[in-house]
Amino acid sequence: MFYVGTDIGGTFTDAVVLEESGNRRVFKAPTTPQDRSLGVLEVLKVAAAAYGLEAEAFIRQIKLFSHGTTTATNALIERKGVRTGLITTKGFGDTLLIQRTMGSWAGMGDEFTHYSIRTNPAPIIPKQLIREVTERIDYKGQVIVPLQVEELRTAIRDLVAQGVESLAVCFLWSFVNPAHERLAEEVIREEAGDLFFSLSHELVAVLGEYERTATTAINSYLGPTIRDYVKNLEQRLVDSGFDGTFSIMDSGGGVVLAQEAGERPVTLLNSGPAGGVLASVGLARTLGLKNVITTDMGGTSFDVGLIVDGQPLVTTVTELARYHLVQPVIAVKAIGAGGGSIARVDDGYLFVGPHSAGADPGPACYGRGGTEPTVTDADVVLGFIDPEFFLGGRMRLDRQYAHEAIERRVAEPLGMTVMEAAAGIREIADHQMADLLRNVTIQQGYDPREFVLFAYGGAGPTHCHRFVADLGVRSIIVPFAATGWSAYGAITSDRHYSCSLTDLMRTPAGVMPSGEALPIERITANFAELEREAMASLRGPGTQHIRRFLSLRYRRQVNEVSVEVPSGVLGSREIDDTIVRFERKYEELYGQGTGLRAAGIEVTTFRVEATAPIDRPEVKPAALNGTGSGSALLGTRRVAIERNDVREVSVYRGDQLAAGSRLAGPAIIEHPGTTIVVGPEQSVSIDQYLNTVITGRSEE
Amino acid sequence: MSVQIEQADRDRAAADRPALDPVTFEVIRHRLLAITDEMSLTVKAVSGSPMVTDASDFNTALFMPNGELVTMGRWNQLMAASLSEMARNIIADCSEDPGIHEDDQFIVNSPHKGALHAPDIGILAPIYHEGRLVGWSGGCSHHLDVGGMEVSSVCPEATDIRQEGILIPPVKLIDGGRPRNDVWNMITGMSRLPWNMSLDFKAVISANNVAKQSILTLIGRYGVDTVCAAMGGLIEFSESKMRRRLRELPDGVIRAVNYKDHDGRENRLYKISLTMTKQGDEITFDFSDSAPQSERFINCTESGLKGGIYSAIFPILAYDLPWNAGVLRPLKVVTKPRTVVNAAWPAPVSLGAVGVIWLAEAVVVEALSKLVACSPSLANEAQANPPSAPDIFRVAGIDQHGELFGGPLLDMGFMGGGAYGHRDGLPAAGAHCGSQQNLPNIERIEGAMPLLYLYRYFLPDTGGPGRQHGGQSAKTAQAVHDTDRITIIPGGHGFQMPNALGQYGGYPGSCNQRLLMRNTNLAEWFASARLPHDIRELQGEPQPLSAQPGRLTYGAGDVYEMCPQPGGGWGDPLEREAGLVEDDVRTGVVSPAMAREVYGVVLAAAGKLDEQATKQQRDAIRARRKAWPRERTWAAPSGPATSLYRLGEGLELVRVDGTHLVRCERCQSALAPANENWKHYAARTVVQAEDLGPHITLHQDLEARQYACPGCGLLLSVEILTRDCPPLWEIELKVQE
Repeated sequence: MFYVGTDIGGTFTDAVVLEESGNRRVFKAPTTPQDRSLGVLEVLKVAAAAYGLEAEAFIRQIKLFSHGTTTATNALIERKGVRTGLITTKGFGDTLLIQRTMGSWAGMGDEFTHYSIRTNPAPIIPKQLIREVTERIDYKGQVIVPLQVEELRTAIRDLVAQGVESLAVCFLWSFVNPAHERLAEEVIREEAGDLFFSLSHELVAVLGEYERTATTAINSYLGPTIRDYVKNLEQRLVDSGFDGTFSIMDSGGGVVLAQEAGERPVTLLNSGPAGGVLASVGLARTLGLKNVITTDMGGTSFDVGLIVDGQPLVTTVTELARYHLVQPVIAVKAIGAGGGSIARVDDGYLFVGPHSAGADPGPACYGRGGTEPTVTDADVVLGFIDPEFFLGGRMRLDRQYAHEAIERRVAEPLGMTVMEAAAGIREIADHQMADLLRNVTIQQGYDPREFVLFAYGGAGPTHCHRFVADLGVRSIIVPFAATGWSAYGAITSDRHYSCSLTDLMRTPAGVMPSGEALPIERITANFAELEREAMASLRGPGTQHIRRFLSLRYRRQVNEVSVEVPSGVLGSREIDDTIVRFERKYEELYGQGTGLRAAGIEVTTFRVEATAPIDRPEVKPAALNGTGSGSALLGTRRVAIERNDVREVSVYRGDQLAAGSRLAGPAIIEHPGTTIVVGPEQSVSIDQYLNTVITGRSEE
Repeated sequence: MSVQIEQADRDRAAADRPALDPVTFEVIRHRLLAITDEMSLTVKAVSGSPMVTDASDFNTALFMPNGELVTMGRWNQLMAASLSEMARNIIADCSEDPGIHEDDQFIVNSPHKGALHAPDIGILAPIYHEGRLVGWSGGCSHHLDVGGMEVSSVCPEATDIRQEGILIPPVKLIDGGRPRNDVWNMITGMSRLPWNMSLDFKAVISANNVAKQSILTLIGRYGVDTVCAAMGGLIEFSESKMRRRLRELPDGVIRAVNYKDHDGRENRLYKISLTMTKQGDEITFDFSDSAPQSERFINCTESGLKGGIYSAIFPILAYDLPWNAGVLRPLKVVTKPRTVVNAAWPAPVSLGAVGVIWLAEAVVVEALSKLVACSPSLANEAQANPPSAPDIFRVAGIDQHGELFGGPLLDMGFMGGGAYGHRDGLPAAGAHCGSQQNLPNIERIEGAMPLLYLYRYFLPDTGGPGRQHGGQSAKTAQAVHDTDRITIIPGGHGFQMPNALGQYGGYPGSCNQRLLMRNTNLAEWFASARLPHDIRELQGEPQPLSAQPGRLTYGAGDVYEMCPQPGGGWGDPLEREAGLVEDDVRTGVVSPAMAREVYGVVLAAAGKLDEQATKQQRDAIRARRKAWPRERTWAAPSGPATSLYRLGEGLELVRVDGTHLVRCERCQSALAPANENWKHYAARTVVQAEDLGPHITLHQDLEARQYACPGCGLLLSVEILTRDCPPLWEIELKVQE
């Protein structure tokens, strides 16, 4: 039997096949933007061929098919969701358009200071499809004005008559008292039959009407689209004989069963980067590592995540397609630095990125008409990438185009040699990434010396030996399946469900810790409710694992810190203990003496993260009997390993390096999807899971 | 004299620097900007204050050894001036006594030493490497309270700056790495919120420590000379770009005027007057003709004025450049002492930061826009006025949990932006001086304060009409909830002066609006399961409020509504495509009446465009305009015309038969000789406030005038000035051929 993880990226659709033996193999096929499921079927064909099987025979043997998809993200960015109606509290119909005044600059990156090019996002739901109804609940959940059902009924009929295919409902304070939204559910069922709808309190029962409305609206906007996509893909697989489990990657920490994905499509948004972090969580566990910095450098961006104490860092509000979503997702920070980042000269100054040549035309060396020099072009010119062995030789690069682009656009205007210019482009890109790494570690209160760095994505292994400069991480690991790492995350992740609710509670000023000032019964009841919801959602085989979290902050302060709460019965001791840990974590993150104890503490959000394991084979460690390079050594080539340091560097075939092999840098290890560069002062070994481990400082 | 010395210093410093290769420069440039961002993150993290984190009322910077800005965060733009001036004053005042040494940090908040007003406290630190001063770092943030007569230290009753909170001249707060607790306690002891103040100090001090560590690491890697050269190079980069941009623009004189109504005691007008002269690669901002200083808190000091000027310049001329001294070097500021923009000690200034300074920003935006609009490459950066009249609304009292609460509600921030020639102003764009605004959710406010909101929605007819209209503002209303009464302190300007003026015939955006209804029957509405969409539907007693009514009691049954000024419009509204106006009416941006009267667009039943009636209406309006009287006429030369400059929109400067003249772009008819104000030759009328829109009120001393092309009726300018003011000569280009 096979366990197959797939991931649809911008350029390639990846598949990782896990065999019953624990062996893993990575496959790639071009992404098919018109109907992305075709690319998935294609990569399965490629995999089948590698096993000497017909596609159908291969698919019949798939026990678990786990899928990471950008379909939800693309549908949102391209505004290709369905016509959706929004029902909200009278007086507040413009909440989604006002966007807390963030609409004009959200998602503009560094260009937000350029006022004249600001715009507001294209609306997900136009004003004509937003209906206000009379109802009002206050902060305590007390009904100020009951929901006027006939008004609601008229609104729904009217929206249905306008041709909406989906409805979203978000009333003020519905997360404290959901009665009106529940009533709305009944009326929708009466008036609109089986129309897709989302209720804000069911989806994200947290404070903040703009983000809650946006999340609910986007969920409804994408729901039918995702449902159709999943159905279509599943049908294609079933038609080919598939009868295993079908799951889909979410962005919060695991996979969901495919039939559930269409209910909460917002959880699928940005699941690609999350897949890579989750694969890293699994690898970190296998290797016994607690703290990991994950880096994914692809064609257009450089994405960084953190694993602390074995858990990925989670963030609750994210900006996507210029709207703001509130839901716990694995935190990934990105900058526009990738293989496709364009170098340009302006007035004697050299800049790299954030604009990218993307996949089409791509870097100049792709030979698809791109004339602007990119980071990948620099890598080719400097000798890091062998133009003949890109994608294992399946795509030939043209060194001459790369050379010409750098010469014309960078070297000549700056009066440099092409090699100097290429080294400069690379150096600038590497430092941009180093700056981001500092930003997400040191600046967030984490000491990189306590971390190992994972480098994956097509371009990451080529650059990691440099962008860790000055960071002081303990070692760099290029995972075995580095080029299909998100797909690998899809196949190695557990089922996951996350839910949260806001219930504001406060302790009086002055006394600390003051757990007894908090209503333990309400805290217990809130967690019990969330746990019930999570367990119900993860019903099925396997033991569910539940973790509780509480978000706290100092009163009249804004920074929130989420701390884990012990399982079992909660008493004032456990609450006190939680508060103490909150204070400790607050100072770890924000600095000594920053806790404003005198103000008292506020409890904001309760969250439960639940997982249920999926049955899959274990990857077995290989014997560490590789001794050295042996047959892996391909020869040497001239590489400009540093500015003004061109030398002959040994080049190895990665798939010929056995577990236990050790090499001294500088060295180049070529894999079909990526090239690993080992710096002069570094050494490298292949571990028992065939990961490439680089240690030692990079040469400055 | 001092200017010359600085110039000599700079030249010598530039000559001493090693030449940097572009790669090293770019790597260090990126790092310096990253360090500045890291400082900002640190301030936000440690402070945790809603003023810093939600309102983004802070900034951080790195400086050269002489105090010139090298980098600056992109938060409160007004603080660019504060940071620069604070650094300059610390160096001037403290170098000899008490001396500036390694690991010192200096604190300052005096508005005469750089701050916009006393609540803005800056802490700056010199950075030394092996005994050599290599630069400075610093941060400035708005504190919740610095003492003084009134909670939160904005003091309507003050007649003396010494009543507006503690005033700290440059003082050493950290001495060789050790906090001076005596000084620290003395300062925080003056605040009503000493704990928060301490935390905000720690925030900036930590940011300075981050900067020092990061700079020293950078020096360790690249060497001190290289890093210093890159810092200076960063300034030169911005300066050379800035000067190049300025050289691309025509030379000339541009004038802009705006008014602040009400000074806290009397409803009188204060003129903010700018004569901007651009010559070569420099600009002079002359504010000498502005009103004499007030006895009340509306004034600003010269550093406050500079804050407004710089904040206008960054997004227009330096949108893609590092914001630093290089952007500022080509600028010169001229003022007259004892004016509202350069108040003399001890005039009060606590409201200046949200009053005169915003208006200074507005006139600079207006004048710079008129200048860049003449250049094809920069015309897209020109805009109609942003809103510049924040109506600050503070609340205080006992909250629903039985505890003291207080602070500003930020509903005044839901303001639309000014229109551009290529797009409408953005709805709820936020303040021009704060580029990343994020205002709180209603649920967040209601959870923390005893208030119940009734609505927050876009009000039609707010954004100034125009070919491109100004962005809409949102109107909010709320009532007290779960408490008997609280105190409210509204205060602002722009109730009888629409400060968000339009450009090129665009109309101004609406005035600030507020309505306090006493003893309404809101409870009855709730009891009968009704919610008002407009508090005018309720029964109650409207209470007239002045712009600065001071403290008011706000009790059960009272409701308060406000709608902030939006952005101004761009171009003649009759030139807006009728189909777009039809959409505007459908989406509630424009009312049918406004569509008909101002846009000349007639809609039939069901809001459908009536093309025939629209054409007739527009023709009729143009015909009326053509018939407006003209002050002067002339015999224009005839012959082929050579275009010299497009004067933004509607008019162009041309040469005909050796004579320079201004002509209408639409009908090509010659309007006026170029060496006179074209307004004397245009068709001119005086209009009433209601002609400008339903939400416009004009102070009794003000007059709104419209100027149109006598040839085709194109609306060229909507001008608002005091009655005694002659037509403003907006732009006078010096043509070089």
